[in-house]
Parts: sequence; structure tokens; C-alpha cells
Amino acid sequence: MDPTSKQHARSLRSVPIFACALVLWSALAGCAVFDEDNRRFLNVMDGAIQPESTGARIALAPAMVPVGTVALVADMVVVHPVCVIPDAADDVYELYWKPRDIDWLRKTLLFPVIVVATPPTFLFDWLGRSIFHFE
Amino acid sequence: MSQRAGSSRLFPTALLAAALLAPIVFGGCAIMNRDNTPLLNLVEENLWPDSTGMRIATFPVVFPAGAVAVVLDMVIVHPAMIVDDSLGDTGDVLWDNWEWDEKYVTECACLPWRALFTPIVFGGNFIGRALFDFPERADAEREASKEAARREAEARIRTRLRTLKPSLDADLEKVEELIDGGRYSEALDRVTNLIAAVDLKTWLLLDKKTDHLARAQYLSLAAAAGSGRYDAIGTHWALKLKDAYKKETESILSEMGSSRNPLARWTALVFGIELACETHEKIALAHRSLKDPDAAVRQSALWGIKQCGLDGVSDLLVKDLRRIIADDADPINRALAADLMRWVIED
Repeated sequence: MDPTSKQHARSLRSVPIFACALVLWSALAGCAVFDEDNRRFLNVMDGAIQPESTGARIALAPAMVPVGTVALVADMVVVHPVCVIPDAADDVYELYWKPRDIDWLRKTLLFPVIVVATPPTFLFDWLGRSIFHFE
Repeated sequence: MSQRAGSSRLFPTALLAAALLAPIVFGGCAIMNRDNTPLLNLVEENLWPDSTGMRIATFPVVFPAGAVAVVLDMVIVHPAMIVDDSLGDTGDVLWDNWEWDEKYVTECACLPWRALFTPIVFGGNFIGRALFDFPERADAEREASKEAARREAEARIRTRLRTLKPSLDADLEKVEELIDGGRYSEALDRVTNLIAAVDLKTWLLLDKKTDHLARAQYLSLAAAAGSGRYDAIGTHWALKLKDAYKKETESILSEMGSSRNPLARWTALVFGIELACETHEKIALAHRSLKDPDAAVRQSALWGIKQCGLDGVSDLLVKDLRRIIADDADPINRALAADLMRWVIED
């Protein structure tokens, strides 16, 4: 078997893995995108594309099924996760960086801990907000 | 090597046996319900004798027949019976609630996901229904429609109560003003009409949350006491005295109870018995009225005691009953007292 066909076979093998990951991600992310407020892209499209007759709906469906799926996946994987970055940052600020009435010694002692803890906390919070729906 | 090959041959056999046993073990939950075991029911009806002797004699035949029937019920008949329920459930979860008018693109986007999850939801539901005893869809739907009807009725009543409360407040305020101004008769007519205008069910629901009925009842008594028109008191006869207006109502009833007007005393007695929460309170009220100069009031008191049973009957009451049997001018009262005495003696 030549190297090109080997590479092709490997990429073919990765398709079901990717599909499973996407299904799993969407099943979990479903928690977030099940809520209408978290489907910003799809909501815009819903507002823009509203065929009234049944005929038009059927005729448009072959195009709209993939377009809608792409929009839904974009909402899941890109739009919603990007939109929740400020919320995650706010959470981290509230948790660690909000000024508190404590003495300088404690502030100084806590500072390196907070600096180290900020990125994983942000990441964890952001992932949680991306996957699940929080008010 | 051959040992390894042997064990690898054994593995799928054990797996198959476990797979077959699992529904038998877990299927117990479903087969506990007679509705899910038609074949076993047939065996029971046709092969299971009534007498113990015959049961012992036919056991070697009936037991294997029953075992085969129950396995067939679990593995074939019951699963076949629930396919339509699972399909219905899957339809409810994934293929209902379309919003094509407002969310065309979203619905298009959801189509592949609905299709993708259909076998998963159907499979899970089917296995669950096959193993465990879920209510049939028809039953569940009946329950759901009953629940929906109940919720709808509650919502209707809540709306009615919301609109009713402000107007009741205003009306009762007006009645109070009329009583304060000494216009008792007008107040009585108004409050009687007000009580009659609202049906008993609504009053009782209202009474759980507000004091409107207690207030209306109290104002009705106050207006009747003021005007002397005891025959025109409006009531639903269902209210028990609550903390609100309790003292005011009791004070009016006590005033009416010592009135020279027999109708006032009779009204006080009847209302008092109806409104009192405890049996001993009712008996005490009735007992006091056994010495009333009016025969009709004494009769109502005797009826009141009879309604309450014998829980609160004291020696003093027995003495009064004996006096009525011996001295009362009214033959009906004498008969009622004698009847009560028979109860006391039998007890």
C-alpha cells in the first residue's frame, strides 16, 4: 500500500471518531443550545427566513437542513462559547479579583495563588457555560 | 492454546446466556402485572386446578407449561404488546411540537438530530417498557388529560378569584358603612345578596386564602341583629370560625342568645352549633339552650346534641334530659329527649 492511500485510510478511520465526538459534544452541548437564548445565529436565521406556504417550506428544506445544521453547530461550537467568555471572565473576577476588605499581608500571600488558579478556573467555568445552560 | 480457544468459544455462550437471563430477571418487574402476561394467564385459567390435591398432582405438567408461558410472555408477547407505546412515546418526545411558522430554520436543523435520536429514544424506551411495568399510554394519556382539566379548572377559579377579590372588598366596605350608619336592613339585604351571588365552591376556595367569607358572615349577623330580621341572614353554612372575626362573631351570637326574641335565640343557637369547631363547644351551646322558654329553641338544641353524638354528654346534660322527659310541655321534645336518653343508656 503506498503512503498516500495509507494516509487516506487513516483519515477515513478518523471520520467516525470525529462524528462520535460531534454527537457527544452536541448531546452535551444540547443542554446549552436547547435554550433558545443560546442559539443566536439560528435565531437570526429564523427571523430572516420564514417561508409561508407549505410548498416553499418543502422546496427549501433540502437546502435548509444542511444550512440549519451548520448554523446549529456554529452556535454550539463557536457563537455560544464566544458569547459566554465575558460571563466566565466575570465569574473569575467575582471569585478572585474583586477588591475585598482584607489586610495587605493576606492579599500578598493570596496573590500568587490567585494568579495560578485564574486560568484553570476560567477554563473550567467557560467550558461549563459553553456546554450547559446557566442563567 | 486449545484451552484459550475453548474459553474464547465459551465467552459468547456465557454472554448470550446472560443476555437471555437479564430480561428474565429484570422482566420480573413487568410480569408482576397480570396485564403483561397473557399466556401465563391462559395457563392459569385452563391448567391450574382449584383443589390443592389436583394442584400437587398436575404440578409436573403445569410448572413447565407455566415456565414456558412466562418466558414467552417476557421475551415475545409483552415486548410485542408495547411496541406501539414506545413508538408513541418516541413520537411525543421527538416528533411533536413543531414550530414551522416561527422557527423554520431551527426546525430544519433539528430534523437530522430528531432522526438520529429516534432509534436511541425508541430503543431505550422499548427496553425500559419491556423490563419494567410502565403504565400504558392510554392510561397515561387519560391521567394527563384529567390533570390538564384539573389545572384548567384551577386556573379558571384563580382568575375568577383575582377579579372577585377587589369587588368583594368594595362591597363589604359598603356593607360596613351601612351598618356603621345604622342602616341595618339595607346592609342585610346587600350582604345576603352578596353571599348568594358567589357559589359555595368559590367561597370555600376564597376562604382558604382570605377572610372575605368570615367577614361577610359576621356582617350578615351584625346587620340581622341590628335590624331584627333574623330570617333574612345569608349564609352558606359551611364556614367554621377562624381567628379573623371570631371574637366579633361570638360576641354578636352571645348577644343574640340572651335576646328576648325567640327567633334571635334560635338563630344564635343554630349559627353557634354550625360555626363551632369543636364538638364539646357545640354540645355546650345546645345544653345552655335546653332551658330556653321557647319549645322550638329547645327542640333545635336537642337536635344539635343528637347531631354531635355522645362524645360531650355529661351528667348535667343527662339531668336536663330527664327533666325534659318528665316536664316538657312539647311532646316532640319529650320524645327527642327520651330517644337521646336511650342512646346514653345503651352507651
